[in-house]
Amino acid sequence: MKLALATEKARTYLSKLFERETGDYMNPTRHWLIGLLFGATLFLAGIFFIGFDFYVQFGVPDKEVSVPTPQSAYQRDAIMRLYDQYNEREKTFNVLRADRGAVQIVPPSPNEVRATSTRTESASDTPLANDLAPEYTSGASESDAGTTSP
Amino acid sequence: MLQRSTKILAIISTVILLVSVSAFAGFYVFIEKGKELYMSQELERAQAEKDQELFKALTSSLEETKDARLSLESRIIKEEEVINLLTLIETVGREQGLELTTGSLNAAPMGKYESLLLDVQMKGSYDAMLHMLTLLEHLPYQTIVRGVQFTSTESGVWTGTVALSVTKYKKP
Repeated sequence: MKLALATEKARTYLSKLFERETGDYMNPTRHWLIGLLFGATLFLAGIFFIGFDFYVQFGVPDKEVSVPTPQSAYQRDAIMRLYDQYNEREKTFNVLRADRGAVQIVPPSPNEVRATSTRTESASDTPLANDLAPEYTSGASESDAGTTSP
Repeated sequence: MLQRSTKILAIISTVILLVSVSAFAGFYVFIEKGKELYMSQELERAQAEKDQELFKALTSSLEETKDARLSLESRIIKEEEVINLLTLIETVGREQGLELTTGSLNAAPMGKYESLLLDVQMKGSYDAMLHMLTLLEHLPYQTIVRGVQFTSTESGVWTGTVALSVTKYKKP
């Protein structure tokens, strides 16, 4: 019921709006103005819609996004290098163990302290442990307090 | 003179124009926010791709270095291998013709490992002791010679002490 009443009111209003005024004379200026206003509104709305459509299509960046490549603490080459080093060390140990007496060394004169050397262990001295456990870092610093190596 | 209905139409048209302009401004703001969201999502996607590449590379590396890592792990002695190490050192010392004893044996924490500190005392000829020192430096474990002292005696027999540091796994 209310809807029918509202529809009737709207129809009456629009009829009044678009029907000729009392006195039954034409008003071309008014009708041109009405047409121009509607036309301009439609034109602007169309322009905005087209602009928006182009903006959506071309406004979104499509460039390649670059991010830094993450680095792993575990480096294959470092592990293989260390592996080779320890293999070489073991080979040298076995060769030296078998070569007992190959080189004759003349001892220094008696009652002589030939060499004294002490050093403090540092993180760089333990590459194997550090490579196997890269999160470990030692705060120790290396210091060579000795005089000469034997 | 403008009619009343003309004024109403002009007002309605102006309102529609203003609404259109407002909608355009709203669209602009909306798109700008959408661009930010798009960029952040693109960054996340690119980061995820990189992480995936790293994961594949790591998995491949782990497989390739499996044997090497196992071998390297064996270079760090375990708790039950300490006796074997001491036996090895004493055996090598005897092979060099040295009297060899282990003076002291201590463990110091070193991160997730322990540093086994031992003093090896030797007695014998000078060249045998030097050779033994070289052998100790090449032990097939992660070891460091921390200190060396050689002293001769009146009889021509040399005594020496080698301070060794051996990396060892902590007790489980």
